[in-house]
Amino acid sequence: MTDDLNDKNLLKNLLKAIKELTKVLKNSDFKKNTQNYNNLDEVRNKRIQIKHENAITSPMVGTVYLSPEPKAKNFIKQGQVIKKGDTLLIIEAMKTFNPIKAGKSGKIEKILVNDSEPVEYGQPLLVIK
Amino acid sequence: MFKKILIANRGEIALRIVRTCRDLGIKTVAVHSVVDKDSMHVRLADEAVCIGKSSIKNSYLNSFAILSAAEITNSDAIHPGAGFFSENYDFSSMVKKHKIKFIGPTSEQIKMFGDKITAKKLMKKNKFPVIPGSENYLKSIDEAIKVAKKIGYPVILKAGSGGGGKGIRVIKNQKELLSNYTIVKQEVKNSFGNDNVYLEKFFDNPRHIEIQIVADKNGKVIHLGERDCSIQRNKQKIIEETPSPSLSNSQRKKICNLVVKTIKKIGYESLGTVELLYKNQKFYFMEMNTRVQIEHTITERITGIDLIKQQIKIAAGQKINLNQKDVQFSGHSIQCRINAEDPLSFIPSPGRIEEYHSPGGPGVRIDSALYAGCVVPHQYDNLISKIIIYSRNRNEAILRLKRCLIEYVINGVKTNIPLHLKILNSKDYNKGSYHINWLDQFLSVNY
Repeated sequence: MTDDLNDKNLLKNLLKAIKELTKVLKNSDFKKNTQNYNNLDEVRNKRIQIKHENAITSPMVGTVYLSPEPKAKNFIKQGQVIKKGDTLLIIEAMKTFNPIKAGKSGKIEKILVNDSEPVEYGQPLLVIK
Repeated sequence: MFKKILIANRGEIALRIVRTCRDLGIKTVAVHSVVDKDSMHVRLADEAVCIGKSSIKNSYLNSFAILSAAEITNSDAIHPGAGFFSENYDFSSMVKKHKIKFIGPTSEQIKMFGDKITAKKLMKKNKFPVIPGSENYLKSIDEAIKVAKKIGYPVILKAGSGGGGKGIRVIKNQKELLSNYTIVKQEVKNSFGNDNVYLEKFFDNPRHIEIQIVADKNGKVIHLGERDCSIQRNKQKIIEETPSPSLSNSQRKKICNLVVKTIKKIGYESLGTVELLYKNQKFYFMEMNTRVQIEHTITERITGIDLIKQQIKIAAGQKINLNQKDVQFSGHSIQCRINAEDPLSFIPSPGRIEEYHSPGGPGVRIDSALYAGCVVPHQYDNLISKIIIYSRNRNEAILRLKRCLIEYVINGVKTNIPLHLKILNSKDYNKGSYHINWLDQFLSVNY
């Protein structure tokens, strides 16, 4: 695991993938968004392709929120030490707010999503070390 | 009568309203978000207006866009459906100011009953029994802790303008109260536009029984019997039936008459549902819903009365042309709510419907906006279909319902059909002995 993370090439590729994804997400063109919805599987597969070891993945399709309410402090920040059972973020799907909790204690290595961003099933949300 | 009605809703309930409007010869206008552009309520309405982006806030809760849509289409009434703006005082008074008729009670009545605390005080004043709880809305988490201590855990944290099981949590201790307080407030704000919450005593295993009333502005109030909505998961109704297997004829008559008497005293016009908790042969008022309910369908089945038609006629100023003694109840009706969710984990399951085939035959009604190829978006409620069964008696209705659940083909998203079959096969359901926590207990034992 530690070896993997030290592998510069891997990290480089990951960053590249994240940048590409952010571009896709920032796409605010309506028509394209609708097309994206039509190509749901394609988009989903693209997002899941980025593999992270120890990543917590999204159990559902929805919208991710990093704080309990708008303008409030985020649940977690990078580098923070968390305990098993702590709420990490919230995913809103079909009008219900589902808190995503830590399955183990550890340190937040990286947060891979932005607030109010759509997430797909199986998409890595954050990495706990 | 109205010439053109704008329907400020989506999904099966919007479609349900379009259908009655067509039956009455009234033109319809559908409003929709970007992602809903190909949905059934849009296809079947006479006109359609896109009112915004896909998030609820930008579309179905965008009052300016909806009013503009009503203005440009020359609609003379707005039907709010269920959820969204259906019990929103600000919206209904805005509609009124624009000289458009809001199909429902007056704004003042919406305000009075929509505010759960005011409604409770009102019913209490008129000698109707209510559930013990906070006298006013909670100002802070500290106050919540104080009130909870006073009435004693477990308590229920509830939204002031809630409905449909959103923004309700059972709280067992102070720790749970601390962790749920903000989440519930947020959930409520997103769904209903304000974040008032209050606490109520949690009853041990009561039934949820509600009385359907119809009232006109001339002071006439009649009831259309009760509905038993005790099969719930996470405070959300899943199966409803009428008549309730737990009430005798004399109990039914007594409570229905008390409800009619109380509502007459208070004064009300339109459809209304008085929701009650039933425990140890006693009824307690929970809240009054001033809109059409998702489960109005089963009442329609056993009375033969189209509730949406009544609601529209009353809004148009017409008298109810029915007397209480004319209302005949016959047979038994059950409704199953089909949700897009995993039947075991209950994780929401939006997506594209690949294959679709709905059940049929005698005594079967399906209220759904699904079709093969349509998209179930992740932004909205997970209710995708309602199976409404009618039969001479309860046993036959259960058998017929099971047949329909097996016939139903919905591929592409996960649904709770397997869960419904498990419930209908259980001994308790067949005996009619269940309560509002029965399903949660059944699930924790069987999975």
